[in-house]
Amino acid sequence: MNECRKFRDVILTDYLDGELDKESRERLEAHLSVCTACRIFAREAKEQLGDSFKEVRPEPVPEELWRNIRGRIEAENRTRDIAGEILERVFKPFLRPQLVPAYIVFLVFFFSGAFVAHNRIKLVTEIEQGRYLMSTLGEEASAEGLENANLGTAIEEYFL
Amino acid sequence: MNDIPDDVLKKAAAGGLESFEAVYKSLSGFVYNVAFRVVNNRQDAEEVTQEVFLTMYRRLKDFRFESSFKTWVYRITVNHAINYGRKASRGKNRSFEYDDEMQVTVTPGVVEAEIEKEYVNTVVEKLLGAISPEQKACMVLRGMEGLSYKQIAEILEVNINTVRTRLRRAREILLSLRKKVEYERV
Ligand SMILES: [Zn+2]
Repeated sequence: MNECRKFRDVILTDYLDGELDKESRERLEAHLSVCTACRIFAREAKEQLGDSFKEVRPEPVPEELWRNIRGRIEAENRTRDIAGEILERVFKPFLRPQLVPAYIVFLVFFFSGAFVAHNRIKLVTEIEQGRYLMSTLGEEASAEGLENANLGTAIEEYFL
Repeated sequence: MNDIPDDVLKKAAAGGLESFEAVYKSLSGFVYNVAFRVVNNRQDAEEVTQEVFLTMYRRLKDFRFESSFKTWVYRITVNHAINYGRKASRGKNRSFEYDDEMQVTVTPGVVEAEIEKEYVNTVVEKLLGAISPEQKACMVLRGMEGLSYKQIAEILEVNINTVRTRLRRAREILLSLRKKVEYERV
């Protein structure tokens, strides 16, 4: 029974589609010669499914389809052209080799500015922490002194 | 699918709309019919066909001409159709859903042969509605295009045994449905 199941799977695929190699084909035919149920199954499958599509008449392609496709392509091309033109007009003037030194100078200024700003934030944080340290130690901390002098020294002075 | 001369393809790839129209003319019948069989209705098939050709137009410039143009077109078409079909059938119980409308309507006054043809078409249409888009794609590529399992696996980028399983499942469903249809017809 299990064997029949396997043969029927083959009948519904490779057998119907003529994809069986010689050996498998002979094995199937040997089975069909002794198994009536599978023989009937094979015949019915061939009759019912053999060329389900051969007689199907092709559907005519609707006339307006190409006009729609052409319209969409042209619209897309127009959008692309406009985008290209904007890019060309707005950005191209800035993309000249003569401007490269100016860009380098700008970048140097930009990054050194960022570096200074970053360090300043760090310093302020350290001062804040220093204040906190002082107050927890219960000592009178001179805010002026802290802000003017650098923190490390203030602490050093205290401990020394 | 007709063979398209290389120079026409290259001009279309460079953006030439006249050449692309020639490409459309030779492929639209195939693309539309595969889409129609997979999504199973005309309006969706039109939408899929438009998307397929827009995709082709955009990607043609990246197409490597040494690989198979046919496989490329098959793949774009089938992938679009499957995705569309999946979206359409999401949340909907597809299996055996139109038992009630299995009756085939035949226009009066049509000659015998025409009735038979109309019958075959309606039956195929109805049967195809009962299987998944992936299964349909395999059935269409095999049945309508006569492609081998190996070619179908290559187009769908799946294992050859996956192609076998899909065809087997589809045919099991079709067999059980077909028996019903034949019975109701008598
Ligand atoms: Zn058997």
